[in-house]
Amino acid sequence: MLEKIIVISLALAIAFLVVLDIVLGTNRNPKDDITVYINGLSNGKLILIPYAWGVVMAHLYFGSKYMLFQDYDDSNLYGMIGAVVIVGILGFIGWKRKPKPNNVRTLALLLFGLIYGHFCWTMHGSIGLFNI
Amino acid sequence: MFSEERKRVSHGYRNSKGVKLVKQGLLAVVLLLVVIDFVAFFTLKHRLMPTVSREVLHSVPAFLCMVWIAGIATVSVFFPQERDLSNATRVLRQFLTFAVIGAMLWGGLTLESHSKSCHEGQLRVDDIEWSWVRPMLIMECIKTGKDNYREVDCNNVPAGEECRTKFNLTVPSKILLYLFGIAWGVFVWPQRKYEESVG
Repeated sequence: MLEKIIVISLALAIAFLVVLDIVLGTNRNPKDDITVYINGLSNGKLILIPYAWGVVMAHLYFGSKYMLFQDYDDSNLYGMIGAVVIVGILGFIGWKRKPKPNNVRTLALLLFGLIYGHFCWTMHGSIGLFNI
Repeated sequence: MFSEERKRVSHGYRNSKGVKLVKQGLLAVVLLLVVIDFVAFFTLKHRLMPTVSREVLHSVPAFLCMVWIAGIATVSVFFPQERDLSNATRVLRQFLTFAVIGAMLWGGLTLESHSKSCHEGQLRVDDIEWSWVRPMLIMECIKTGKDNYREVDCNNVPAGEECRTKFNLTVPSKILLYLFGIAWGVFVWPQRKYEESVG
């Protein structure tokens, strides 16, 4: 039952975003496209977005067999908590320092997110380097 | 004078109905998925039961095109390329992109259809005729019984266990696909010119 709810919710969410992007992509306003909007946010206070993007991508698709911290039931709770803590720290830094757009920082945060998701928040993990 | 006008137009665009719709829409989608994921993760008896993440993970290979699209989206969102394209070129680039998505969907669904149960287990990655394809694929076995979605050794499934088997892309193959998406985003996918379009 829950599996069906999740699949239907995912399908509805993706369909909604696709329809929204098509509608907004065909109007005359270039500032309201989803990609432009997220780009604006990530170049402003929300510098956490490239990290979050990388971590979610690696978590969903690129997980390693070797995980840094393997927890007691393989549910990867510690990896998730670590990702949320880093998001919180980056959110705080962005909110306090109001950084300027910087492609190098964006790339570094994206790569950091991909590496964290690959080793620390993986769904393939079966071999822990440090067991907790 | 010109820059004041430009600023006013740009500010107006940022506060348009479309932008508000994007804000509310994105917030609603993210909240919905986070809530469902947390509910699935924390309320079920076993934490390996299906969550949004696991559903997405297991949507590959059928929807392997999503990994490729994520590569294009990475470039579009974080490193947008400014291009001055004619309408015909723009349409051609979009058409090519959708053609590749179609081809990937066909390939992914074909792989999915070749998957068999562990109990039958006749078809192996080594049996595939094209030798260049073999290193890109892995045989996955996923327990679907009481502790749902745990990956298990395909050669060691006890009799009577409920298990789903399928071909999947290996992690390096998925990373290559993602890099291909990034390259496509940089060189092919048409993007709007940001500032030039305003005012």
